[in-house]
Amino acid sequence: MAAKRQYGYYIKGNKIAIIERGIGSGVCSLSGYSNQTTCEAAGGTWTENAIGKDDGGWMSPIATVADGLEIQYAYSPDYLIESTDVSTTTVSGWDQDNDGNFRLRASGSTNWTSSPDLSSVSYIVLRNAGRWNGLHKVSSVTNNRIVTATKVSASTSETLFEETVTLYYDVTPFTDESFDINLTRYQSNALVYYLKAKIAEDGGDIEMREFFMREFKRQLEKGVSALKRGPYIVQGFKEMR
Amino acid sequence: MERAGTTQTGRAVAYIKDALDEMNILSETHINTERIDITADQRFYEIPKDCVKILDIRCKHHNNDDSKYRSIPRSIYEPLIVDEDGS
Repeated sequence: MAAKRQYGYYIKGNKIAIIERGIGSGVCSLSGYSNQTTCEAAGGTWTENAIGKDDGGWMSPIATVADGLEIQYAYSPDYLIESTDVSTTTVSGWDQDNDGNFRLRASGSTNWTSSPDLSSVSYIVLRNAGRWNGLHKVSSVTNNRIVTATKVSASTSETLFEETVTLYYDVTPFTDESFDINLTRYQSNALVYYLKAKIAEDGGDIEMREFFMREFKRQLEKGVSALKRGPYIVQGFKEMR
Repeated sequence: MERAGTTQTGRAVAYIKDALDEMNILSETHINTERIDITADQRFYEIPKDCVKILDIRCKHHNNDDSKYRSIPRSIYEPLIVDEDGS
C-alpha cells in the first residue's frame, strides 16, 4: 500500500518550493525497515501515518517520489508544431557549452546528423523536459550535440533528464506575419483589440488605449463564458448580511 | 495587422507576442502538464521555461494512499524548518 502524504507549496522567485508535513509514511516497530512489506516480513508491526518526523511539522519532502510533482500551466502559443509525428526521443541529458548556451546531448550511438537528420533544423520544441520545456533556437548540430541559443549558467557535465524527453523538430516559430496563430476566431478578435490599444498607447492616446484594452478583456471574457453552461452561483461567507 | 492599421511588422509581432502572454494570463488558451520527480530533502523545483501562468500544482499520494494526484494547498508562510541544502 502506498503511503498517504500531505504536501503544500509556495513560490519563491522562479522556483516552486514543495513542503511536506512530517506525518511520516509509517513507522516500523523494528528499526531499519522503511516499508510495510519488509517490516511485516521481519515480524514487525507497521503503523501507518504515525507522527514520524519533527512532531508533524512542515519541512522539505521526506521521501523521493518518482513523478511525484505535477504542474499544470498555461503557455504562450508563439510557435506551431507542424507535425507531432516528426519527433525524436533520443535525448539523454543537457549541459552548457563554453559560451553559456543550453546544449542537448544524444543518448547512446544516436547521430543527429543522419538519423534523425537535424542538421538543417532551426528551431526545436521540448516536452517532458522539466524546466527546459518549450521553444529553443538551434545554433548548431553535431552528431551527438545540439547547441541552442538559450542561455544557461550550469555545468559542462551532463545532467540527465528525469523523463523521456520528446524533441519536436518540425516547428514554425512566430517571427513574421506569415505565421498562423493557433487561436479561435474570437480570441483573434481580442488580439486585434490589444494591438490597437498598444498602437494607441504609442501614439499617446490614452483614452483610446483604455477603450481598446477594455474591449480586449471583454472579448476574452465573452469567449470563455460562452463555453460555460448554466448560471453562475456565488456564495457569500456566513457572516455576510 | 491590416485590421489594427499598422504596417510595422516587427512592432506588430512584438505586441502580438505580448498579447498572447496577456491572454494566457487572463484566460488560458494553451495548457501543458509537466511531471517532475520529488527528491527527498530537495525543496525547490524549477518552473518550466515556457510557463506563463501556473494553473494547478498536484502531488502524488497527497491525502490519499491510492497513488493519485491531488491539488496541494499553497502555504502562506515558509515553514520554520528550513531547507537542508538552503538552495
